[in-house]
Amino acid sequence: MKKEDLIIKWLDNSLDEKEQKAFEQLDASSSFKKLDAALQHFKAPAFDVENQFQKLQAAKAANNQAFPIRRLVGSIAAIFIVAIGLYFAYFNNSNDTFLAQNSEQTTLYLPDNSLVILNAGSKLLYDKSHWDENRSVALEGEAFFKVNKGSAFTVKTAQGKVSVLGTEFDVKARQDYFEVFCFEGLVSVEYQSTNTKLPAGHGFKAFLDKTIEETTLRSKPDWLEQHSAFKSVPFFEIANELERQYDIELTYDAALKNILLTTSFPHKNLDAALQAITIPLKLSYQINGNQVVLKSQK
Amino acid sequence: MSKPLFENVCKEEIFAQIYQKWATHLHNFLYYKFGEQVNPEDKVQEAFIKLWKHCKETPIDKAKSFLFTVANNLSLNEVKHQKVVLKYQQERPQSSSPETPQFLLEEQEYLQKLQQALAQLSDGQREAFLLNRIEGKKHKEIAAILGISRKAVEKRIYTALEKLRKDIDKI
Repeated sequence: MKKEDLIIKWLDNSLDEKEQKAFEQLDASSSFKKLDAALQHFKAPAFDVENQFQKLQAAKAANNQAFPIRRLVGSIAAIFIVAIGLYFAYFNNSNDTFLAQNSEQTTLYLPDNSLVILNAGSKLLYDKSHWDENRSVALEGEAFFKVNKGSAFTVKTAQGKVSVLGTEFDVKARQDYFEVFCFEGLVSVEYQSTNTKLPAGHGFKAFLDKTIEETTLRSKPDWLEQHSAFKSVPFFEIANELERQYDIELTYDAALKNILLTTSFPHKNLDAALQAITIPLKLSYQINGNQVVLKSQK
Repeated sequence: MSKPLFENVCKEEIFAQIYQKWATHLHNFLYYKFGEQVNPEDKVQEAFIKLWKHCKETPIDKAKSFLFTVANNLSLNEVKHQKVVLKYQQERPQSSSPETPQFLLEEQEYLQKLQQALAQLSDGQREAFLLNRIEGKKHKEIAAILGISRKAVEKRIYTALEKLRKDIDKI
């Protein structure tokens, strides 16, 4: 047997007796044995399987936990980014709102210096950031506009749309009542998909499924001069206007609701105002704080 | 729930079995190949944690090669061809007779020579040789652990032995 094979067999501990003897005969065998004995000193430190496994289980658990927390943090961050994005997309760009509470009027100037006066109990909303591209406001209630010349100016209301280029006009968009008066220039009113052009001194009223065109000699709406004037206007709208101007609540017979009335009332004198609406209809009134009851005279 | 295509190692008891079977082998393999400076214990832990993270993609019969490959790569990244130093234990395995001081000194010298000579071996030679000589593993077992042929194991061990003998005589 070759020396190499012998050594290999020895290395694999598979020498038989005869081979073992042959191996002992090799001159290198003693040095191999010495080497082999010395090698035992180099044994790897013991590996404590039990203990290490416990440690591993702990590390595994930490690992399992770490993952959902990372995901949670990620989700929260994502929500914040989306929220901030939405904030910038909608709120920051967006709408400036102006309010006139009952019994007060608010004057404001739009970014192009156009003047808006809000009558009592009205709300105006417009998009500040896109004003240059789109002169457009949304209105709930009544307002007088003095629009500077420029691109198209639009007033959107629940009832209809009023477009102008540069002019003075009044828009009244109340519950079941829509009214536009033009005092200067030309306005275009879109109401129930019909377009009406109003030159200066012309007005447009819509209530109770009727539309009426009128003329006026005035250069400003009456309510800018501390009184409200009505020409053939249903009683409910006059009563509503009175409620808004004095911040009161009127109680009256429903039969009166749709009676057309021509009258006017002052804004600073409740008794006079109530007389202005009760005398023509032969009613009497009773004031209890901010509750006013209208009754027919006997 | 869709059934996995193969039985993976995500089950705790299977994972524990794999640990019981391979952790010590893996530790010794790393120790003999890279020496103490790679912290074989840590590498074993890291390899098993990695196995746990990838438990879904790892079939049971691939777990062992996964562990050895991962641990090997982790260690390789760390050592970058440093000299491998294996510590020898100072305390002697129990001996019956008291030794002469001269013998002890000679033995000390011999161990130092052996330490240097072991450092001279290639990683492949050292791991196979020490698994065989110290852990008493059969060539066949080593072949299975290292994923090489039995012939290659024999070759590595034999060359390692010859090289050690020559180096020690020379030093």
